Amino acid sequence: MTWGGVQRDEAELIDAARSGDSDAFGQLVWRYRDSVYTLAVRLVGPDLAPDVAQEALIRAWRAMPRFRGEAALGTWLHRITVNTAWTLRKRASRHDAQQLDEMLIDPSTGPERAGELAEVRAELGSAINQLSPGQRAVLVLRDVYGWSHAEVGRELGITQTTAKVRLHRARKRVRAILGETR
Amino acid sequence: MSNVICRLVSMVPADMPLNRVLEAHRDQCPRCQADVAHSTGMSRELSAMGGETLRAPEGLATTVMSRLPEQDGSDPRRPLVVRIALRYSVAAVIGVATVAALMAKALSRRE
Repeated sequence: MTWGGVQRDEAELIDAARSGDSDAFGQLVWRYRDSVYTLAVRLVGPDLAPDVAQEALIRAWRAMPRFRGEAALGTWLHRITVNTAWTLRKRASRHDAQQLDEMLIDPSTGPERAGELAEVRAELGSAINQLSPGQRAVLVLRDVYGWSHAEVGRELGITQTTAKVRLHRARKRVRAILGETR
Repeated sequence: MSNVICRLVSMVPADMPLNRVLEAHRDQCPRCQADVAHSTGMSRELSAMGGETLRAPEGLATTVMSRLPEQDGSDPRRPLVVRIALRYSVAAVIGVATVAALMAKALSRRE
């Protein structure tokens, strides 16, 4: 990433964006757009994900002066994305069940393994789609992104105990669905 | 009986320790072991998804940049904070109303 022919590191871009430099923020958006979009797809499905990602990045811009760097920018953006997805979940629930099938095929794997993986992921994606929004969010954040129960609870506005119970139910439900399809 | 124990084992969340009886059962029960293997495989698949990234749609970044409002330092978690505050205030109002009703009932009985 160049800036007037000079590479700018992330800290410099963040400082500039915090001071209202939209070009610097644009470069950060360019760096993080895929990661924010991926999380949004996993939380609300591909139909609504572009809206969630857009809204999350706009909220991030508005909030940039508050960003103090206690967490990495990517983590902070993920938190905003989770919050945005969560607040827009009612809109998400009005959408038809969305398939995650087209996502998540690692291009580095060979074609045969990629085919197998695609099948497994498609089944898993379809099972995740059948979860309630609350169960889906907890499963994605905990099992896909490896967040702690405390982080999940804090970002979703639920207690750790609720997060654990939801996770347990979500895992059981996914396993039951996979059991039916296999 | 074995079925019941299998169900009990499956009801314990993966990150909670089993007691000795359940653990001993799980270690020798083929059904429970298959269950554990299935769960482990699923966890591995889910965890692998965390390392993968999808390509954002063309134009996402451009759209965001064209819609940037004024920076106001607003808390991006405000909707969540408002929702939690609302939930607690509703619970508090219900609690106060219940206590008031109970006290009124007790007072009316005394009279």
